[in-house]
Amino acid sequence: MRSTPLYSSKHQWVVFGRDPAKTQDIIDTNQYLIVDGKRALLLDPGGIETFSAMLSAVAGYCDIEHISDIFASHQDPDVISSLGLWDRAVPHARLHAPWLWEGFLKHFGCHSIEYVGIPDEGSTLTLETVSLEFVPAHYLHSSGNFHVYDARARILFSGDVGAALEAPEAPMFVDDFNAHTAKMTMFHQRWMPSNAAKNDWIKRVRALDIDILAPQHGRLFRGDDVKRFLDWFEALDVGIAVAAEKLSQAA
Amino acid sequence: MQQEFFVNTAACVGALCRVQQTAVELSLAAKNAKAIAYRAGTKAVGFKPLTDFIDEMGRDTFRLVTEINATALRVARRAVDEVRLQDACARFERARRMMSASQTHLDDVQLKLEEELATNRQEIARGLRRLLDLLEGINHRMRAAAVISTRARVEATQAGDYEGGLQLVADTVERSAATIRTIISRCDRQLRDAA
Repeated sequence: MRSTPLYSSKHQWVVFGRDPAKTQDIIDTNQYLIVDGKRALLLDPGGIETFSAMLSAVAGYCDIEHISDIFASHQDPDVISSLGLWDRAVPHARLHAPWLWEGFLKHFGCHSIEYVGIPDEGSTLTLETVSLEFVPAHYLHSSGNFHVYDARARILFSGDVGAALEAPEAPMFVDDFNAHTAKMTMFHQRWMPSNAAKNDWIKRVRALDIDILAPQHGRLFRGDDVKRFLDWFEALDVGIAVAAEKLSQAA
Repeated sequence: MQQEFFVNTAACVGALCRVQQTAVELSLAAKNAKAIAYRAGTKAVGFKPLTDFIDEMGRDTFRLVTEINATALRVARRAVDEVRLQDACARFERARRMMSASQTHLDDVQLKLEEELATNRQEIARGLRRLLDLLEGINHRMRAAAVISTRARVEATQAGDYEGGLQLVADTVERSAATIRTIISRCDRQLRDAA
C-alpha cells in the first residue's frame, strides 16, 4: 500500500492507496489518516480485502491504539466493509457516519466501536487540536453522505466526488486536468443521481478555502485544479441512467 | 475443522425441521388410532396401549427435536463465528508480517482473537457432543417405533372391520419412523464427518 503525506504541521494528513497486492477485480481506493497528537482519525478505511495492507500502512504513521475515530462517508463496501475488523483492532474507537446508515452499517460487525450518527445538517469533530467539519453531501452519490473539511490544512475529503477510474500505478495527483476529465465523466454522470444535489454541494464547497480536494478513488486535485474541477462538475449533467430510460421510453 | 462445517450444520438445522413435522404426523396418527380403537371397542383392546405409546413417543420426539434444533442452531452460529474468527486472525497476521515494527496493542488484539477462537472451538465441541447424544436419543425411539408398528399390524388383524384403519396407522408409524431415522442418520454422519 502506497502512502503519501499530504500535510504536515501540528497535525498530519496521509493518503493510502494504489495497493500493488490488491486483486485486480476490486476497485482501487484512497484511504486517509489524520494524526493529531495521540488521536488519529481514519477516513473511509476501506474494504475487508484491503484491511491487512491498510492496517500495516497506518502502523507506520501512528500507534494503532491512538486511532480514536473512524469516519465513513457512506455505506458502500469499498468504504467501510472492513468495519468488523477495525472493531477488533480499535474497540475503543468511535465511528462517525451518516445517521441514516446506522442499522445498515452494523451488518459489517460493530460490537465494540460506538456509532456516532452524523445529523443531516453535518457536525464537527475535534481531535487534540484540529477541528474537522462533516460537510453534507447527500445524494453524492448516497442518500446519506458526508465529506470532511479541515480548514487548517485546507483539505476537503470529497468521497466519491472527484473520483476517477484509474490504472493501479496512476500518480496520486492530477497533472493534466483536461486529460483527466475523460477518466471522471462516466463515473460522475452515472453514479451521481441528482443535478440539484450536485449544484447545492458546489455552492457550499465554493465557500470553503481548499488547497487539496481529496476523493476516495483516483487522483487528488490541488491548487487551481480544485476550481477547475468544481467548474467542470457544475457543467456536467448527471443522473444519465434516468435520462437514458426516458429516451428509450420516448423512442 | 473443515471450512464447510458451518454449511453442514446449517443444512442439518434445515433437515431437522422436517423431523419436527414428521413428529407431529406421528402424534396425529396416534390420536387417529385412539379414535378407531375406541369405535372398535373390545375388538381393538390390544391396540389401545400401543396408541398410548405412539402418542407419547410422538410428543417425546417433538420435544427432543425442538431441543436438537436449538442446539444445532447454536452450533451452526458458532461454526460461522469460527470462520469469521479464522479470517480475522489471518488478516491480522498478514498485517503483522507486513509491518516494519511491532505494535504491542496489535499483539494484544491477536492474543484476544486466538483466545476467542479457542473458546469458540470448545463450545462447538461441547455443542456437537450434546447434539450427537440427542440424535442417538431420537434414533433409539425410532427403533422402538419400528417394533411397535410390527406389533400394531398383528393387533390390527384382530380388529375385524377396523383392521384397514389400524393398518393405516401402523403404516404411518412405520413410514414416519423410517423418515426420521433416515434424516437423523444423515445429519449424524454429516456432523461427524465435518467435525
